[in-house]
Amino acid sequence: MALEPWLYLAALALFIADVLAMLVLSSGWRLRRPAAAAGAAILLALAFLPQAPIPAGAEEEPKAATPADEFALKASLQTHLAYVITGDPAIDRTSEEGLSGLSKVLRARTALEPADPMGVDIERDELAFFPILYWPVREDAKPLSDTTLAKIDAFMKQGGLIIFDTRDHDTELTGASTQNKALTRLVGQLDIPPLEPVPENHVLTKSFYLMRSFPGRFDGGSLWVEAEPQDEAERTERSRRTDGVSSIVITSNDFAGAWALDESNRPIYPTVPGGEVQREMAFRAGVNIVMYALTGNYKADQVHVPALLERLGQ
Amino acid sequence: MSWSVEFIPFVPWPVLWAVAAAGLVLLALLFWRSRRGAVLRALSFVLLLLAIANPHLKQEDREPLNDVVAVVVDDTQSQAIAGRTQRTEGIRKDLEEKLKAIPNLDVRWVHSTSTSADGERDGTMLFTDLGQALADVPPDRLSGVIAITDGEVHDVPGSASALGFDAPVHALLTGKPDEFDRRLQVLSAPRFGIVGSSQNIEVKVVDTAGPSAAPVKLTVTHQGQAPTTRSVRVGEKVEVPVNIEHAGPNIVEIEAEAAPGELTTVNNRAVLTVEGVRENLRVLLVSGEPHAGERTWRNMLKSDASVDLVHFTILRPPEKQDGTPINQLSLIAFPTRELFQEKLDQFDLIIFDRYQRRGVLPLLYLENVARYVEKGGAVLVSAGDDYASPLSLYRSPLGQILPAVPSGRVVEEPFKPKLTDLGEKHPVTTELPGSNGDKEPSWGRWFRVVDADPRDAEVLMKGAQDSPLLVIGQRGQGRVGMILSDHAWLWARGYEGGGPYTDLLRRLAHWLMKEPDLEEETLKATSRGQTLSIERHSIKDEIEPVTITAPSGKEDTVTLDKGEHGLWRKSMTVSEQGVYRVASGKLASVVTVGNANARELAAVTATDKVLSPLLEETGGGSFWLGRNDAEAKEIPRLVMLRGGHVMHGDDWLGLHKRDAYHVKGVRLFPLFTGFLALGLLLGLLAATWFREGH
Repeated sequence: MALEPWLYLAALALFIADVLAMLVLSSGWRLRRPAAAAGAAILLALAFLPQAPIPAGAEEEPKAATPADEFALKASLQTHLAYVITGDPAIDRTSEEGLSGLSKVLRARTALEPADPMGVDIERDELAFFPILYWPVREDAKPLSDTTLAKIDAFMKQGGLIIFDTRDHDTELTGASTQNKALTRLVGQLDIPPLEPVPENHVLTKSFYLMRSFPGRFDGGSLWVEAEPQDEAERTERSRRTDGVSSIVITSNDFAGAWALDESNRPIYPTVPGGEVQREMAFRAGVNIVMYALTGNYKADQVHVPALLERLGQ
Repeated sequence: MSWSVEFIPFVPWPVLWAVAAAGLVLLALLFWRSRRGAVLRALSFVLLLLAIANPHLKQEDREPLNDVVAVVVDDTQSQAIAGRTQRTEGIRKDLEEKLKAIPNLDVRWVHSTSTSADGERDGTMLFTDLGQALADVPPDRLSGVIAITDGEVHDVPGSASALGFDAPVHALLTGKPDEFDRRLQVLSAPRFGIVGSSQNIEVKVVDTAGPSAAPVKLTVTHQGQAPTTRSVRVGEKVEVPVNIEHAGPNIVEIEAEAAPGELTTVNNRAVLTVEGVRENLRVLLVSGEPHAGERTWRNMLKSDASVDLVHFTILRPPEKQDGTPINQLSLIAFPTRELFQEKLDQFDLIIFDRYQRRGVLPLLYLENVARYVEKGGAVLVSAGDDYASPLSLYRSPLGQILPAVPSGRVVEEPFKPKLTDLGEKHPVTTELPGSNGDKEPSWGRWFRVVDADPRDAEVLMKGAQDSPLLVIGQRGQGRVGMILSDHAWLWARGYEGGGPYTDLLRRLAHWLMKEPDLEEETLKATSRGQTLSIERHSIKDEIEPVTITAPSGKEDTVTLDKGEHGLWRKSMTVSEQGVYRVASGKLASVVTVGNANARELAAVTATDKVLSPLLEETGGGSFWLGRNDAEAKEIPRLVMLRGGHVMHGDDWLGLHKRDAYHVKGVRLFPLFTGFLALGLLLGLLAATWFREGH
């Protein structure tokens, strides 16, 4: 069947050849016609073989008070200055006398009226009640347990302030002295940010008294505080959590020794190099640190108050 | 059954034409030479070509198909006014009857509403809906489109070719010529405004008849206030001042007086909301003494970005003067006069934290504070044991507005603060993290609560021995709050795990400053697509039903379903587009469903102008069927026509008779093959040669 078109075309070609021949021959010579005629006839016969019609388909288809509660009641109902009990009776007595002396000064001069100081067993007692914790560092201080370190860490992160006092009149925080080694042993594992000596204009220099240095029984040692974070995000975070208040203060000037007063309010230990001016300054340093712990950056904000008040009028 | 001849050539058509052309040239030569037998030769050539062209007889089995007429019923909002709903229904029924009477005609009913599933639609989109409905109808079966509409159509194609079919489009208009309507057009409206400022809304009263000098009464109503009226002219731009009185939505309703004989008064009214935004909140914190909880207040307020804090602490009371020279002290004088006399009303909240009368603030200033609260201010007192003492703030002129009367007794024992029944529901304390519902709260204990009796106040939390702990109250236009313990800081310091002090203190402070989200009684409406959700918060046990007013003025009353913690809710699907008003008692809310600038009600007069160019192009016509009342005039006769360009007359409308059919099967029979063709050709050739030979 596929031959059909070819046969037709061949027939057509022969027909045209015949016409041409006709035209040529008519002008003189003749061709042997029967041969051509026979060829054309055979081709035509083949082409016109009968064929069947092409089939085409369709188109579309409440309970009793325990000792801990007693402690909590006492500690929370009034503000207490607190110190860490080191286990050394001499040091602990000085701490108690020192904080008691500072409390007297606070009561006499400020609106804060702290109750008697409380000694705190750093391992067992709850720390959350105390805004401030005075911690004299013993030469032979032992490392703290992980639980205690976690407790201290929480205390600092939730707004508490710890004063570490190495009491060795070391002017640099190099870590070389035995006391510094002891301090490192104590809290070296804590997540403490970088420290710096109290910079000028720090809130500690103006939280109650205007201060330049912070002497204790000794003078000359710097007071170390957390350095202001360089990183903006970190600063915002700290500012949000604790109003940007340092949670740690380190001194080597033996504050408690300078603050210690006997029953008739006379100093117990002499100051070195000496003089009552230095003792007064030591008390002022104590007042400032306590105010810093309680009011945070209040005094730093006061710089902005006049501007704020100015705006109010508009 | 139909027959036709079809050629199925053995060679492509161009080849066939080429051969034919070549043959013609030769034959022409033959004729020119006037050879004998030229006619016979031409005949055989034609037969040969015919054989190659291979003609067939085609037989088709056909089935006639019904014509389709599409009827688009405009169910949009503009069709719901002035009795058009009934009129449309009348026309629809009438048309249905008449269409039924025509044989072999299918009717496609298309209902077009002003809303669409995606909520993006603004206006009447008849042709969009028509196109969707006709997606499966072959264009050669469509005999016509009839639209029952008011003529305000917003998606008329620019030309008939964009329609995708060639059939007459007719419009049965549901109105009358020369209808009259007045509407209020909002030219500009502020969306936000600072609380206390005044914003202008620009409106214009528009009549379809054009501007006129006659005065029109314009009524302006601020939510909860008596309406004010003024006289304006039609076509004149009017500025309506709006005072932003409070934070959150301020609702204003503006209505133009109805004109006699106008179609509808629904579009004479505009309801607008201007969101009141507050400047930074100013809080004055007065700490009576440095204490363990002071920094908790400071930290909470300072970390709140929306608060400007002015803080004063009494570091040294006047009686404790020592000899320290003033230049060695970092103390500044409390600017009491400035704070408590001159700029007092600039504060949004004054917090007294363990403040006792120590001679710092003269009583006159505390009296100022009491007056400031009555006039809309707010005071929060965080009381320690001082509040029970003779130096208590209660024993000062401020005492008259304080919500708790101290008994003089202070309870000092461990206790867990608990929410009262009211506290469970009140926005200040509801779902306070750690409250644990009926169970023991998981937060830490406090140790002191000042025993006191609430006075004109509500108790949200209670402390030891069930004495009130958190007390709030309304005083005049202002608010007062008291925490009868100074131990919130124990939560901040993490004692026994601490507690949600920030949440509690911040919410309390913001409630006092009238933060709209913390109101006891709120009614909120939101929309998503065509879903309207109503949320009602209440501290009451039972609430009134809510009235919903649709943009067309239709009112509905719904009862909300009660949920937990004083919350009632309901969601519903609504059909209209525009501003819905939701009201319950004194509360009201406004929500825009779908597109705010709904074009539907902007122009409501019936018109044929929008549709007429298209109607004319397709041969269709428009027919005004409005009558005085809600009835409709007789609809035109329906006529089936085979063709013609004008398919309408005064009283008739024409539909195209399509005679479309469906082919079920085809059979082909070859015509010029086999021995018949062979014989014919051979005979002819033989005759040719014979003729030529002689």
